[in-house]
Amino acid sequence: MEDNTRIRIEDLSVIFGRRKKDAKKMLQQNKSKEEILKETGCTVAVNKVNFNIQEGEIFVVMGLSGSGKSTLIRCVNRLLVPTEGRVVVDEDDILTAEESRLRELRRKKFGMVFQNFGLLPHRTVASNVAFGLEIQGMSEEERMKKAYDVINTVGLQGYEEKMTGQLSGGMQQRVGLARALANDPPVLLMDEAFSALDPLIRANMQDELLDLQERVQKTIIFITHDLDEALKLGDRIAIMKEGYIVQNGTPEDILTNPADDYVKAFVEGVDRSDIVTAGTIMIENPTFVDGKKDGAEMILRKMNQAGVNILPVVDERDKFMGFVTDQDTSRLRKKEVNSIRDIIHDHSASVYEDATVAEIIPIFRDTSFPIAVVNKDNKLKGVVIHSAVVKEVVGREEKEIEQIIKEGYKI
Amino acid sequence: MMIIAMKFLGKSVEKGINWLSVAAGGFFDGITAGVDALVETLQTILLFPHPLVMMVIIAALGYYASAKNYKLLSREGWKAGRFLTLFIFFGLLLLERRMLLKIVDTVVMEFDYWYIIALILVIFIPGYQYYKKAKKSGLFSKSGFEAGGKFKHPIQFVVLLLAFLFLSKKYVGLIVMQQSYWEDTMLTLALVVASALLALVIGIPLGIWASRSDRVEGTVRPILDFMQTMPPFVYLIPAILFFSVGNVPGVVATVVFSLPPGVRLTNLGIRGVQPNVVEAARSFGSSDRQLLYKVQLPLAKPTILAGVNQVIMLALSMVVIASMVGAAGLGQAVYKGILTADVALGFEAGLGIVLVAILLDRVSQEIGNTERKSEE
Repeated sequence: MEDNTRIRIEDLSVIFGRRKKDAKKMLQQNKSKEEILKETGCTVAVNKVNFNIQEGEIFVVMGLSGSGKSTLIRCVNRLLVPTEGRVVVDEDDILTAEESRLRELRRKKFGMVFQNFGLLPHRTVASNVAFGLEIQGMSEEERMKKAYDVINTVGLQGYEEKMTGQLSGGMQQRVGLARALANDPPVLLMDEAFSALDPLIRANMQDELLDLQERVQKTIIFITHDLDEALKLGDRIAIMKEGYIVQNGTPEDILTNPADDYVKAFVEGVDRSDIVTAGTIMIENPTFVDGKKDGAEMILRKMNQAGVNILPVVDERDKFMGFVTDQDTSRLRKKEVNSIRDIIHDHSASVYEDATVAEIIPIFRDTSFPIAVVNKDNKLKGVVIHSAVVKEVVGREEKEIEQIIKEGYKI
Repeated sequence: MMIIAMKFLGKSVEKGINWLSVAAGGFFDGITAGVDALVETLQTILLFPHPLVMMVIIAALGYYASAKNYKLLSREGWKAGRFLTLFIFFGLLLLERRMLLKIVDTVVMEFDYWYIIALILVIFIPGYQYYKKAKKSGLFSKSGFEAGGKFKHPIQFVVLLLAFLFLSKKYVGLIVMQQSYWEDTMLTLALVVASALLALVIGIPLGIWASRSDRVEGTVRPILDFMQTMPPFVYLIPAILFFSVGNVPGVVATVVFSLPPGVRLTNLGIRGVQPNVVEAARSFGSSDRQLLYKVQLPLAKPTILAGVNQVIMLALSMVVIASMVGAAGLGQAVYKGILTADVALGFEAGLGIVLVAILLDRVSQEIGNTERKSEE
C-alpha cells in the first residue's frame, strides 16, 4: 500500500430503520439485504464498504439511484452517522471525533458540492462563496477578498453581487464549487455535482473540473450515476450496487474486465475508444523475426507456426525495426532480393502502450500493416491488429467480427 | 353515593387554581408588577406627544414599512407607501375628535360656500385625469372614453366624496364621531403591543426549540391546540384570581390566547427550510448557533413574520374581550356600549378597533414584505 493514502474507509455500513441493532447483527452474519429488510424492516443503504483514496486523485463512486452512493459520501464528513465501520481522513477517525474537532475538520479539510446546489437564497453570490470562511470567523473584508478571488477562478466574475436565484443552474453550481474551494480544503466531496445540469453545461463543467484539478490538485470524491462522467473524470472508479461496491478500479479496468454482469451491462454502449489503450488490446509477446539471425526459411516457418502472414522484426537489442510480409519473404527465398534488410517495411507505425484506440484508428487508415507497440526505448512490447481495434470500436466479440469479415457484411 | 363524595373535574381545577394563587402569590405579584410597568410605559410613550405628532409618527412607520424596498423619498417609494400612510393618518385623525374639529373649524371657517369649491374639486380632479388620458385619442370619441373613462381606483372616488363631506359645514357631522377615542385607541395599542411582545418573546424561542426536537414539538402541539380551542373568555377567570382586575389579567390572558401561532409558525418556518441548504451549511462546519442565525432564521423569516402578524391580530381581538376584566382601551367602550345598548357608542368604538386592526395588520405585513411591487 502506498503511503499517500488520504482517506480510508473500512467496513462501512449504514442501516436505516428502527431496529438497527437486529439489522446490524444480521449484517454481521452475512445475511442479504432482502432478508434483513424482511425480518427487521431496516434498509441497508451501505454494506461493508472498503476503499482507500490517494492524495490528489479523483475517486468516482458510480451507481444508480438507491445504490447508497450519496449515503456513502455523507459518511465521509459525518453528515450522516454510519451504523458501523471507520472513516479515517489523514490521522483523524471521523466517526469518533469530538463535535468540536469534527466542526474543525469540516471547516478546514472538506469542501462539499451538492446536486441541488444548497445555496443560501437570501445572500449574494460573493456572500455565499464566503460562507465557509464566515463560519470560521474570518473578518468581512478578508473573506470577501478571498471570495472574489475564487469567483474569478470558477469564471463568474461580474456576478459577485447578484442574488443566487438570478443565476442559471450551471452558474449556481459554479457558485457551489467556488464555495467549496473558498477555504482551500484538501478534500472535495462532490455529490452528483453536475447531475442537475443539462448535458452541454455538464460537459463544460467536467472539463473545467479537470482543468482546475490540474492546477489545484485536490483529493476528490465524486458521486455520479453517469458512467460517461465517471470514466471521464475518474482516476479510479468504484461501482456500487445495492450498497455494495461491485468493482473498484481504473476506468480501463472497469471497461475491459467488468467484474460481473451488472458492471458489464453498464459498460455496454459506452464509447470506449478514448479509454482503452494499445497496451490492453495488443497481442503480448508476439512472434517476431530476429533481424540479425533469421533468414527467409526461418521467417516463413515462424509465420506458418503463428498462422499469420506479417511479422515484426527486431534488432539485436530488441528494438523494433519494421514488418516483413510472406510475399516479400518468398521473393527473398527465390533470391530476387539480397538481404532481409531490403524487405523490411521500416516505415510502419509504432505507438506507445498508453496510446488510446481513438489515437490508433487514424494510423490504420494509412497502413495495411499491424501496429507495433513499443516502449520508450523503442523495444517491441506487442502488436495491435485491425480486428482488435474494430472490436473496441463496435463493441462486438472478436469471433463475430471475423465472421463478418469472412462472410461480408450483410444487412 | 360515592359519586357525591367525589370532586368533579371543574371543582378540582378550581381547587388547584385557588391553591396556586395562594402558594405562588409572590410569583404572580412579580408578574403583575412587570406587566404593569411594561403597559404603563407604553401608554405613557404613546400619549406623551401631541396627538398630531403621534399620528405622524405612526403614519411614518407605516410609510417606512411599505416603502422600505425602494429609496425612501423617491417617487416609487411614495407610490408604494402613500396609501397606507394616508390611511393611517386620516384613520387616526378620525378617532381624535378634538383635532378633527379644530381642523374643520380652521379650514371650513365661517365660509358656507366651501362645499361648492369641494364640489368643483370633485368634478375637476377626475375631469382633469380624464382629459389627460383621453386627449390623445379624442376627448369625446369612444376610444377616448375607454382610455380615460374609468377611475383608476374606486378608492379615489371615496376619498373625493369624503373630502367633499369634510369641507361642507352642513355634512361634516356625518364623518365626525360623537366623542374622542384617542386615549382609548392609544391604550388599546399599548395593550396589544405589550401582549404581542410578550407572546413573541415566549413564542419564538419555544418555536425554535420545537423545531429542533420532535419530542418537544410532540409535547407542545397538543398544549397549543388546547390553548387555541378553549374559549378565550375562560382564561379571564383564573387570570382574575391570579392577577386581580385591570390591565394585567387582560394582558396575561391575551398572551396565553395569542401565543400559539407564534410558536407554530416559527416551528413550521424553520422545519420548512430546504434540507439541502441546512445540510450544506453543516458540511461547512456551522455550529448549531451559526446554523440558526445565518441560515434557518433568515430563511424562515417570511413564515415567522406571518406568525408575528397572527399573534398581533389575535392579541387585538383578545384585548377587546379582556376589557371584561377591566383592561383599558376601546374594548372598554365597546363593553359599555353592550351594557347600555348604546349602538352609537358601540359602532364608533368598534370602528376604532377596525382601524387599529387594519393599521396593525398592514404594518406588520409590510414589514415582512421584501419584494418590490411588480410594475403595472
